[in-house]
Amino acid sequence: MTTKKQFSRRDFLYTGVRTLAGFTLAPTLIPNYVFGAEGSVSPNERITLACIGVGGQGKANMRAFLSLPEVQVVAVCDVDAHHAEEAKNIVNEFYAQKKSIPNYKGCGVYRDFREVLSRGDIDAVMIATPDHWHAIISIESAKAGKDIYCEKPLANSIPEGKAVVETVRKYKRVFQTGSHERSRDNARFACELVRNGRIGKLHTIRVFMPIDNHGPIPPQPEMPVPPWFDYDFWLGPAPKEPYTEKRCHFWFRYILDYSGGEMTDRGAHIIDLGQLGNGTDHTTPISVEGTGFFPKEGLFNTAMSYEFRFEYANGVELIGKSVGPRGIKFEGDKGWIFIHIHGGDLRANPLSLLKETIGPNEIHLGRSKGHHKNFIECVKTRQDPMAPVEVGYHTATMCHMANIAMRLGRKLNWDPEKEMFVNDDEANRMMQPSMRSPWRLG
Amino acid sequence: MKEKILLSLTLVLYTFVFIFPTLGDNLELGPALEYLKTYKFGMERAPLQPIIDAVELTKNEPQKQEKLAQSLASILPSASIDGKRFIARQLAVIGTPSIVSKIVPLLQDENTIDIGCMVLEQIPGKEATEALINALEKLDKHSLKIALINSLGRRKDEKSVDILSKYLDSENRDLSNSALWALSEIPGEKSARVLWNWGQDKLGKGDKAIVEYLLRAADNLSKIREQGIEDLALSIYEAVYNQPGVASISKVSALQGIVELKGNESISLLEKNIFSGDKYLAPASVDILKNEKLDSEVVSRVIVSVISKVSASVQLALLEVISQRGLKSTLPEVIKLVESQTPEVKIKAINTMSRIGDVGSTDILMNLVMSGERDISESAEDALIKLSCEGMDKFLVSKAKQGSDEQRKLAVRLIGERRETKIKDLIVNFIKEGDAVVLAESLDTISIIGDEGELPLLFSQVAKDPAGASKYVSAITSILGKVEDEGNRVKYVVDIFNTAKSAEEKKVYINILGDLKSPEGYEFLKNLISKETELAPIILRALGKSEDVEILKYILSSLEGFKTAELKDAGVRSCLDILRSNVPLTELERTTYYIEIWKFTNGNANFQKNVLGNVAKLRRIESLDFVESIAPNSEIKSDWEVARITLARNLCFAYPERCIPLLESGLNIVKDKQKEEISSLLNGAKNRDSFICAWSVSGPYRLDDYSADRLFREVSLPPETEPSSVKDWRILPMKVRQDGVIYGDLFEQLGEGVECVAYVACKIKCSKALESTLLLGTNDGVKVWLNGKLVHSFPNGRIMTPEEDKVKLNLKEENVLLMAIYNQGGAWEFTAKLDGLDNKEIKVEPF
Repeated sequence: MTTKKQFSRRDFLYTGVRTLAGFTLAPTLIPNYVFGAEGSVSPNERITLACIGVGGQGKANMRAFLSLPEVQVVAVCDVDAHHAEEAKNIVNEFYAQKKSIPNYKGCGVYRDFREVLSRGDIDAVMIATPDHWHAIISIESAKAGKDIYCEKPLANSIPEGKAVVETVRKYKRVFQTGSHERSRDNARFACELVRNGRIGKLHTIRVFMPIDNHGPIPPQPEMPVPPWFDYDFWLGPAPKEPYTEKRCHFWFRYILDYSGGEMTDRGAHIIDLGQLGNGTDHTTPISVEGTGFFPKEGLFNTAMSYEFRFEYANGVELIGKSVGPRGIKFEGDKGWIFIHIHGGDLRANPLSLLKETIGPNEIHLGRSKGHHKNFIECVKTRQDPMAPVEVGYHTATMCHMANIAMRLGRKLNWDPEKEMFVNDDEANRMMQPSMRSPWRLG
Repeated sequence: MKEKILLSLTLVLYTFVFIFPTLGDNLELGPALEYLKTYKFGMERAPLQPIIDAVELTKNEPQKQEKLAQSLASILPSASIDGKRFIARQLAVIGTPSIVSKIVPLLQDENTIDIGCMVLEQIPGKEATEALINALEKLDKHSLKIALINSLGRRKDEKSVDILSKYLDSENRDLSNSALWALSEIPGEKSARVLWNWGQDKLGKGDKAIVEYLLRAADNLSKIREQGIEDLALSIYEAVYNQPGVASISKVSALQGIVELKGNESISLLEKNIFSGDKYLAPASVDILKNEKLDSEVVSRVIVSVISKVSASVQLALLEVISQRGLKSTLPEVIKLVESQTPEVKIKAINTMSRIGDVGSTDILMNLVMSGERDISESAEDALIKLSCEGMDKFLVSKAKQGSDEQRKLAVRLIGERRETKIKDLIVNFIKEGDAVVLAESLDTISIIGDEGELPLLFSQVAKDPAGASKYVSAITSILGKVEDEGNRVKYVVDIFNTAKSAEEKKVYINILGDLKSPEGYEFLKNLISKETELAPIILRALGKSEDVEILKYILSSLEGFKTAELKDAGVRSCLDILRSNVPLTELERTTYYIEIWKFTNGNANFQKNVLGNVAKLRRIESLDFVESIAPNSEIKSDWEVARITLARNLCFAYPERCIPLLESGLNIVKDKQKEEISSLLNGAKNRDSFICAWSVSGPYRLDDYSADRLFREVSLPPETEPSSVKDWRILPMKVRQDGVIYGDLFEQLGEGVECVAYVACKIKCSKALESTLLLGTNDGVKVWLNGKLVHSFPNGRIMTPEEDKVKLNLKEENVLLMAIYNQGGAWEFTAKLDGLDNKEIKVEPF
């Protein structure tokens, strides 16, 4: 358990500003990565990384980064002290073994991400908190000069996503959205086939997004907050609600205050590949409609089954359903190709598509040595990684658009330039996030 | 049925009585509004549905919607906290200025202020802003003031600038920072001037919040694109940038603003920063060079002046700028970097040449291809493939004709890789002339850019040079692969075969027919064996390329009649090739064929080792029977032992009595790691407890467009409808977990299964009819049949938890237990126990 000073949320602004100010005035701590003049540290040096949010996915990401020799995990942070402690032990044991230092204790452990960001010796952060924290922590990280690997969806609302994009670009940070399906060779190859017209003219993208066994659950009793869990901090900008176990950790994704259900969860993987294959990473569709089943009781209130349909300016339709083999199918007038999500295997008609090669003057989407590795390489080279911030933003925007259309139950037209629904005040108002003070964006 | 009709009528009545009148006179949302008084999040929400429906139904009727909003707002005082929040969510979407006064009371309480703010942030018009301002003036508590200021910031209403500016000097830092933030959120000149006037003298204090929010104000101004306003934005950016003590990460933002507004005039700042070595400003300045506000000419000039003087990391970033912007005038500098001592820079420079290079770069790249350093050579060749410039085709022709031998080879290769079909004739000529230097490359290239039209030439070359004809096989096969009609492909080859004069020539076509994998081709070859006896061994080898069980049977049946050892050997080798392919055979069938082939191996150790190695992979007791029946000589002894142990390892849970002694004896001959593994298996096999371990497996089964869930719900596959007719049952090797749980790992045994199902089955023989409980854990879903009757099912994804499902089984004397294990993706495993039985009473065998 951390012995760090316990911050109350009310401390935030004062303390936050003080620590950030301290960061600028304190003697410069030279990080391991220095992008400097001749004779300074080589770009192949270590990248120091802090992991913020180390539950299930956070730990998986952390292990992936630990496996990269050019990365040193120097801090872990979680409002659940059990998570933080477990993660810290994993890191310390890993380096103890790797460096042959039996009592290695180099990994700092934190509850408050602002303390992590105030450390000048940290180059990059991995964020795997619940979705309602993604934007705030990403923005604060960018402002603190950190490069960012943030889990998908990029943000919990469209305006939050936009703010993340603006801040990341304003401070020229490297940002990788955790849509790791983009780093699969097979997925990129399939998208290259589509982009280079191997299935003829693309007309329909079908998304199959079955929901795992997390249907509606009955009303949950209020429970005492575990002493190791800073529940108020976990809630953060979300409305104050009594604690019950299934509100937090894995289950948060089925509650609209913190997430957008399967739509923003796996949707941020599958729809994301639709964007890549359609060549629309830089934009969003022009309309959306959908229907969904939203539980009528219990704690969970995100859609538990759904059908949705997007229309792009290029005439392509993206149609999604909560059934089928999890994946995405690109249909053209000369064939189709299907990508299995989480497995990456491909199917196609005609089958010979899978033996095609992409010629030198065709569209090449590049290859990744792994989503985490790709991020670290880009931290060094300052190039955009496989899923840069705009990509994550546009995909997340589509997920939120679909959720809003399903909740309103009508077709919505969307202006990709203004990033607003056209002539639909209700939808535009529904799009806006509300944050419990003192939390705010920026 | 009656109940359904009654329910439908009730719903219709409910709709007419409660919903529609509600919209008409706004008085009758009765039950729903009443429910809000006690509503707690997580309770049933169906009673609130009429309110959600009403919001939707009144979408195009502003008056009705306003009445609805009024009704909802009126109930706020008596609603529970969660009820208030539910109402606020609706009002945030449909609220109008007329309800503002009813929201104001929520602002005075710490428990409800965020609910009130949520509504007021969204209501259009001045009333909501005024309400927030009034509350701000009246309330004393800082936390409440901060919430109100944050809401004013989110409303972005210029009317709140004056009141917000009063809080900039608050002694409470939280409050003053909130005001700073809120003002920076409000677009327009007024808020920016307030911030600038207040903050410009404070920049030197190193307060990051002041810097951050001033920069945001400047960003807002620079979007307005008016001269005077842009000047103010520029003043802010420059003040921040020039202020000592401001963090360099903040200066990155200021610098971008300056470049946006000043364009080329700002280039000297960038140049200076590139040399600064600053962690943030140096890389950012390089990156800013990509900004289109800067003319390419200006950027090129800077790059040319700095690139040789900066660190390798900066050079890499500058090369990226060159590449992205296509800055051709920097080519000489890029070429110099090809000589860099840093491999990354060298490779990046080569890659950059492919983007901006001209025909003059090609010689340099060609020399690099021949440098002998693998990474460099590959990058240079890749660059030559991608290089797009005028005159490239002429260059390639010239090099292919007149270059050194190595250059000629490379040029010919590049013509293929670049798909330079316009200069195909050159390659055709090389082949026609049999140009020894570039013939191999020419054939590779023609296989890429050639078509049916080239076949006569290739056939004629084979006829001309029968002894060296084998080098044409690959090119001919590749081009034949482009012929759409399979019959035509075979016809081409058969026709030319019939005109062939020499044996060497004929061998080429026989091999090609083997490679074409066409039934017509194989039929032709079969008939040829008796006609071309001298070529029979070659024909048999070509037949061995088939993946056809009929060909296998044909060769096997012919083996006895072959008179020479050469023919017999060729036949055996072909049979082994077919069995090693994906020929659709069950493991039992394969075992049977290997046993048959063994008879013809005639003491040939290589053949015998091949058979043993492959039989060892087949998970059938018949395979073990066969291996044990062999008396190995010294040449194959060690392969035989490995085969025996491998089979025993795979079958030890299904046939423990047979396999445990074999494994125990095998412990003496295996190495440490294997010893450990075998010991663990032995331990598990000896202590099986009540685990069911003797499983046969069939699968995996997938259907296009069917998820595991859909397979579960909609599909009955042969193993469950006619298990005895399924041919691919084989033994499933089991695994032992550290905690002693014995389980089947289908993921490991059947490959990564996504959205599919596999079946496992066993026979349970009892001394008499018995009752038992099946204790089951599966990942993911499962169905269980006992003697053909479905006795249990679980449809969804889950991790394997031993003994999670408990299923009562009424066992007869002879039983078949069948399970379908579904997998959505990821881990795919199961474990099963029979509880409450004495092991002596039952015997479990694979199906």
